[in-house]
Amino acid sequence: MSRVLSGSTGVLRDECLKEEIHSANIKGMNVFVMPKPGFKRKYAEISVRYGSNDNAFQVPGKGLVEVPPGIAHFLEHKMFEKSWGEAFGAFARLGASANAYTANNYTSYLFWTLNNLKDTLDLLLRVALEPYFTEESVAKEQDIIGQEIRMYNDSPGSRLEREILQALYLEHPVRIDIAGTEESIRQIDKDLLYTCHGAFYRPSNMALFVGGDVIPEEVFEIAQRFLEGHDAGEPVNRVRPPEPQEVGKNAVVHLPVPVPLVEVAWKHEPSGEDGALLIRREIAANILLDVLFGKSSAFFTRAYEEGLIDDLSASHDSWPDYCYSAVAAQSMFPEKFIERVHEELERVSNEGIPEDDFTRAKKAAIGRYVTVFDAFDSAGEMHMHLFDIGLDIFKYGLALKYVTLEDLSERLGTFRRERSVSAIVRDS
Amino acid sequence: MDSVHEVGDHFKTVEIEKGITYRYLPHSKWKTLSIDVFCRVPLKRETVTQVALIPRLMRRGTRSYPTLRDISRYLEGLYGASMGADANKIGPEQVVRFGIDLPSPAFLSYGPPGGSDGDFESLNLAKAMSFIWEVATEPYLEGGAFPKDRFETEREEHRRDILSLRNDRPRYATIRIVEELSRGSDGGLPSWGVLDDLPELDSHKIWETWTGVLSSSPISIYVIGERAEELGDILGRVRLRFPKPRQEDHVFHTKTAPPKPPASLLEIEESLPGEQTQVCQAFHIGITENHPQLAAAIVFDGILGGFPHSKLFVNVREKNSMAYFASSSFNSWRGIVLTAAGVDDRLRHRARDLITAQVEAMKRGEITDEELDNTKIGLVRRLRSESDSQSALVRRRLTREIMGGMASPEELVERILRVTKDDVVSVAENAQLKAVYMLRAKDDGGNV
Repeated sequence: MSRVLSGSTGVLRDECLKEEIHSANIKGMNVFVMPKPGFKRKYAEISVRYGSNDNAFQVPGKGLVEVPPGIAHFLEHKMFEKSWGEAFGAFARLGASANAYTANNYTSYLFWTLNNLKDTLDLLLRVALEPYFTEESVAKEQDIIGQEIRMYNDSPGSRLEREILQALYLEHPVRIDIAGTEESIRQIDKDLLYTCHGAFYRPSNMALFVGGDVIPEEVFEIAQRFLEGHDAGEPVNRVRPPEPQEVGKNAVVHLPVPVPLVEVAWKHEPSGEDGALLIRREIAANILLDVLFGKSSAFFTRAYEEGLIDDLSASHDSWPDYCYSAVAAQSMFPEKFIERVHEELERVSNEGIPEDDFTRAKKAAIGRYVTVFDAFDSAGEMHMHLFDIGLDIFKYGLALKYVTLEDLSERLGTFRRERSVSAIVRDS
Repeated sequence: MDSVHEVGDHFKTVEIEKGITYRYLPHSKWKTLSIDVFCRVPLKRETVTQVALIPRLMRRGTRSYPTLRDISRYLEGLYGASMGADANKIGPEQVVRFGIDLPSPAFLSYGPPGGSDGDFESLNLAKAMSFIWEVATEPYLEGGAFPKDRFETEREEHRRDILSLRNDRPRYATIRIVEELSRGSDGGLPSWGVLDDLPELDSHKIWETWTGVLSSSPISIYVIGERAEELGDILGRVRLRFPKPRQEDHVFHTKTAPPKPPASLLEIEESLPGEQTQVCQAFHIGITENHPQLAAAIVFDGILGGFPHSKLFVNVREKNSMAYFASSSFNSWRGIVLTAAGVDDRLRHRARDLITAQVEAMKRGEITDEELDNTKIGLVRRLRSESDSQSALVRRRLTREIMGGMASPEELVERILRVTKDDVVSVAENAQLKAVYMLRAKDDGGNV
């Protein structure tokens, strides 16, 4: 899936945006640098292609390995503990602020700093590539993550998100909570952590991005020196259960919320490994959601003026193996909101998408894309993920420019009521 | 340690007319151009809830763009410019913001392939400025008041917003402890106003109040991004329109004092069914913005709970595995340091004692060189990093304007670098626990 530059370096450039990204492939790791003159902060992120969805995989000599839910996230926490001490303290000594997070498909390790890029980058690479687990520290972490899980359980927004994914997907691991459960994380031990680290934390399964006022060659040299003794690693064979087209049951959860939370989601057919197709569809789906439910849409303005909703968020998530869209709001009348959403889709399917709505929404999407480059952490992450499907951040801008009304109409056909579910969080 | 160097990101200031300042920072490193209009209002019980509703009402429609949809379409036409209107609290003031962020035209030769794009040429500062000024001053009115139906909808949504604060339990717990510490004080009122005052509001009265605010409030206009200087010429030529004439002699200067700390320890327990108990504590340190010990107070807070290397994170989370988060924050207007942690309900008293013990340890001088150095480096990084963020730069400058005389980021850096362990200990020695608030996940009856 990934494009390999095999030791050579290259530069991607966009003259209009006045942005460039330098890249090199070092020991299998794709390394990207986005120079941002004038900025004081420097940002670095290692993105490991390993997330909560990767809970079953083949290991040479061991066969199929199935691991408990929440282990990718648990591993991320434990990577900051080293034989020589706590890595957070080491970042602090260097003047950097470090963090990490786990998502469904990726785990990220990152820092912001003003100075000491070389030493800090070295430390970040050590955090990701030098595991050190003990039974004692694993036990200690179970309590900390237990509190993290409870914090999310107490958050109505997080609960809504989890319920909708569990309703939408019957088999695919995206339905499992990223942090796992207090029970599932009790099954984690140091050997399991070493197995997961050994399978996924290999240079060829990682990318490094650095943004800021930096010289690309210096970053490449740091990575080169560090990765000298490392083996690129073999591609991992992930095992995913087949996901039926059907969806599960609508969900209602009770939490003490003053105003109910409601979400409607649609399961779409995934695009598979064709990155260009995936991105064209993703862009079209996002603009379509904006036309249908955005601030200037007939739906939103009417629902707002009636007091049905105060705000609405629409999202689209697409990966080679799964793809869905969702709209969420707070409403005193959640059932009415769900009905309205479906009615609106039916109406627009019958009447067609107005050309001028499409033109305005597309223009707004282009403007938002331009400003992504101000947040070079977001830009870096976007670029690394696009690179994994054979694209890059500038090709995304180009795809945005060429998206058509027909692309939106094609996507509209994939918002089918029988492929949708709803979830409500309300007081009992 | 870092050497002191020039930040070089200073706003230029022009006084357009009495009480109205224009501050701008032209810089081509950003692809966003950001304009904010701030109207500063002293916190008073009579007006706080009315003013809190203003951002909601004003973004519903203006004279030229009467409906929500008209406004949204206009913004989409400006390449997805985003508009924000909100009310925040900075020190003793309620600050109403009307802002617009738009992509800089220079990077937008991106339109539909082949086609020309009229809006691209006209996408300019003057247009965005006059739009946001209209949002702030010329709402769509019916019979000299906000339309009744809009007013009712916004009042109801605002009520739900206030009630929904509890959805974010860690934040809600800190809101509650601050509320308890602020009883009976106008200066302690929150930016969203008072729930009980909502039913009294009236769509006529609220417009009256706002026109009064506009005629006497200090107004600050901030522009930051590429070609930000161009607006100065424009503002120098046109006269800003107001619904009521400016009363230049009545522009106020806030003197509202922060709430006095309670004489004895406040202990409050409340319950909200859930899985995690929130433990919040307030330590009064008596150091505020213009105090000579300000830098030492900032370092004190940093060592206590500002970072992952701080005492709270290391002791409550790493050593005792009691919490996922444990941190502190310093409010330099009130002179208090707030701590917060989310723990198992059964461990709430242990957590409280462990947090208090960290402050006690600092009083005894138990601060390592490493804690001191790492905190200072971390604080310097945070301060200098602000120069990369448009919103942080504006926020810092505006806060200085309101609090008066506060050090610039670079002055603060210098002062922080000079703080010694003894300086921090003397801040700790004056720290007094004034309130403990627990939002319990389970209720087993009664208050403490």
